[in-house]
Amino acid sequence: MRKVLAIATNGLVLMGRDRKALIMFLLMPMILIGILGVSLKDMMTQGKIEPFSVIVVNEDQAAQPALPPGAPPEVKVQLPTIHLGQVLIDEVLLSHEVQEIIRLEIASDLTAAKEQVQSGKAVAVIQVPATFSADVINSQPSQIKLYTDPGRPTQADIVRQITGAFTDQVTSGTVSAHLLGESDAQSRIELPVITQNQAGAKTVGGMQYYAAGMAVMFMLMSAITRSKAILQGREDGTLARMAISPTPQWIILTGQTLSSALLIGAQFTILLLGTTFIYGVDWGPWLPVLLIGYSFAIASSGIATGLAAIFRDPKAADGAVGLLGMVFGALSGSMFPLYIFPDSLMMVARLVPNYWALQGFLDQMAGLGLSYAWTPTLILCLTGVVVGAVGSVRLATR
Amino acid sequence: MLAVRNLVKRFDKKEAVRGLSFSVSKGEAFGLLGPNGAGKSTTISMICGLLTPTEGEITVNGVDVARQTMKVKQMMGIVPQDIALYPTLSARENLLFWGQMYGLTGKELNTRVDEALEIVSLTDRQKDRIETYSGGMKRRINIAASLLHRPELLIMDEPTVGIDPQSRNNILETVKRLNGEMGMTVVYTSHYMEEVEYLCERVGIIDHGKLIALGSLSEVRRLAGGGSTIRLRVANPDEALAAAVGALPGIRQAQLQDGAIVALVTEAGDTLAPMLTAVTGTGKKVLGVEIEEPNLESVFLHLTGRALRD
Repeated sequence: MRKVLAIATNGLVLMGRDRKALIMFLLMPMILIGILGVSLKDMMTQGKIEPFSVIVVNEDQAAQPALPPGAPPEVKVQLPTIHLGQVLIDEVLLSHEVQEIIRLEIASDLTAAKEQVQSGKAVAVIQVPATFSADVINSQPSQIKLYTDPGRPTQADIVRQITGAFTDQVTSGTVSAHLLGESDAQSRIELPVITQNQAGAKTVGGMQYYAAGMAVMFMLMSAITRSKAILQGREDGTLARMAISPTPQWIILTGQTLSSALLIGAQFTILLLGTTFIYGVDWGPWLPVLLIGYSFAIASSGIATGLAAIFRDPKAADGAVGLLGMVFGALSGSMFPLYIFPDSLMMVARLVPNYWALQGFLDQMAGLGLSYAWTPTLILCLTGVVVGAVGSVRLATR
Repeated sequence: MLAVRNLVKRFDKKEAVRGLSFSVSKGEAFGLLGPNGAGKSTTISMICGLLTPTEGEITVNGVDVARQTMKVKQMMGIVPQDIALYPTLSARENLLFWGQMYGLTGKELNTRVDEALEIVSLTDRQKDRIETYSGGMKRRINIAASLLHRPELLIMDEPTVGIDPQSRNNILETVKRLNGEMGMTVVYTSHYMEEVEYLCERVGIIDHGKLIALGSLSEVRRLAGGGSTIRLRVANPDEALAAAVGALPGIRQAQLQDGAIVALVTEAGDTLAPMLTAVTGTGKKVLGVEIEEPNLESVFLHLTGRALRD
């Protein structure tokens, strides 16, 4: 353990002595956050979500209200048949307002519909259960089920708001069951106000967006630079010198990976504090923000080790810092807001760890809270461990 | 102290080390001599556990390197050919880090760092960053880093490459002191025969991965058959001239090396005059003559037909 710490500390000291790197990874993002945050402020506040696909699997069977006790049998003929699943489709999901942001598809195969979500072709599947209308009429508990894409929480939340509002109103008696059979039902169902920038209660401003975006982009760049440092050690003989000392290889690799994680974690802390106190950026609640930030530091340290196993020499890693950093940054939304991305690009974006970090930060800025931090935290930690382990094995055998 | 038996190392189809066997006794200074690419560094890498031998066995103090690598590493100090130091750290910071890699901590670590700095005479520059050091000073710290854990066996892989004569002498004196006064066993590889002759009692000459000579200095010198080396500096020498000189009676071998014709001769007194006549007969001007007594260079020339620096 002592040797792991010695290697990790040494890596930190070496990076601390590299003025060029310090300027690049601390000063540059601060400057860019300032410039982009101020200049793209308007674009952020007037942002619009591109229409996205939602699939409805309506299994609901039409139902007729039971006769009140003592009512003459001929009344039954006058009672309308109620089909709430169809009402949800016709009057809510196909309403003009909702159609502006949702491309609705109607399907009967639930499994196939879920696959569409898994493959990123649709944001959510709304499943209306077979007894939904009957349950509502008989005041039995019933629920519309949602299967959403965790990678697109903003859009998923919009779908959740719409279906939630519908269910609340039909089950709480705001809209009486018999009225739902009438043609003007839609006028009686109030749709939620659909927030277009985020699903949370707060609006994410330009400065906030780019604070998170640039922090994530430069943290990944630091990871690539760390891979260069690992390869540099291989080239200048310091890694070999460690290997000829009585230090097992796993200790060396653990020390180096820990060094990367500490370094990128420190970079995140400095950028977090810097943007908070210099630009007044509100990152949201500290605990989930730190969870996501340090998880991304773990992911980045794994990526650093993984990249060191891929690149042949420090020169190759040096060349990749700009290129990979920018491509990953652009793909994950660090440069252009995520909500302007078409669906196909969003699918690709989800493969990039930056995306999960950025999305996680944006959720916190939007006030969605700790529950929204777990998915990105888990994905980022897993990325770090898996990529780091594969890279370590490859480095050890190279 | 060190025993190497039937060592073989293959990289794909290339055999870098081919059945090497030698041993080094406790307190001895052993020289491993050979041209660049002969297999010296590969052999050293296997001894220090950095490379796994394809075949063969290496033991240090009877401990098998392959089986108890960590134990063996603790007994050895390795001075790598590269200057394996962090340029942005000071000499002291570097040594403190490398000491920790050998398990040293606290007061003991600081004492050992002081001691190592004193051995290489760089105590007064310990706070300066390595990047500000001259090549020779870097090499000295490179050595100091391998002395921190007071190894029983010190393996030095071409520790004087690319430095000025003054620094080289300083390093040679340090090695001499480590071996002579401190009783450290030294394995010294070089392609500078004069260094090996100065430092070592026994020597092994390696070429194309094979040991072509092994023994005490005098034993190995005798392999050259008592011949001397004549180095004839000629204006615009060429291969044809070297071949013509090589064909003269009494000359065993001759070749062009660093702008001079280097000839291995049986008796310098008898051969010098015909050599000069042959050269001046071609119209070329003789710029200087050096006669060297039998040495490892002439042994290598005799055994391989090539100069050590080729």
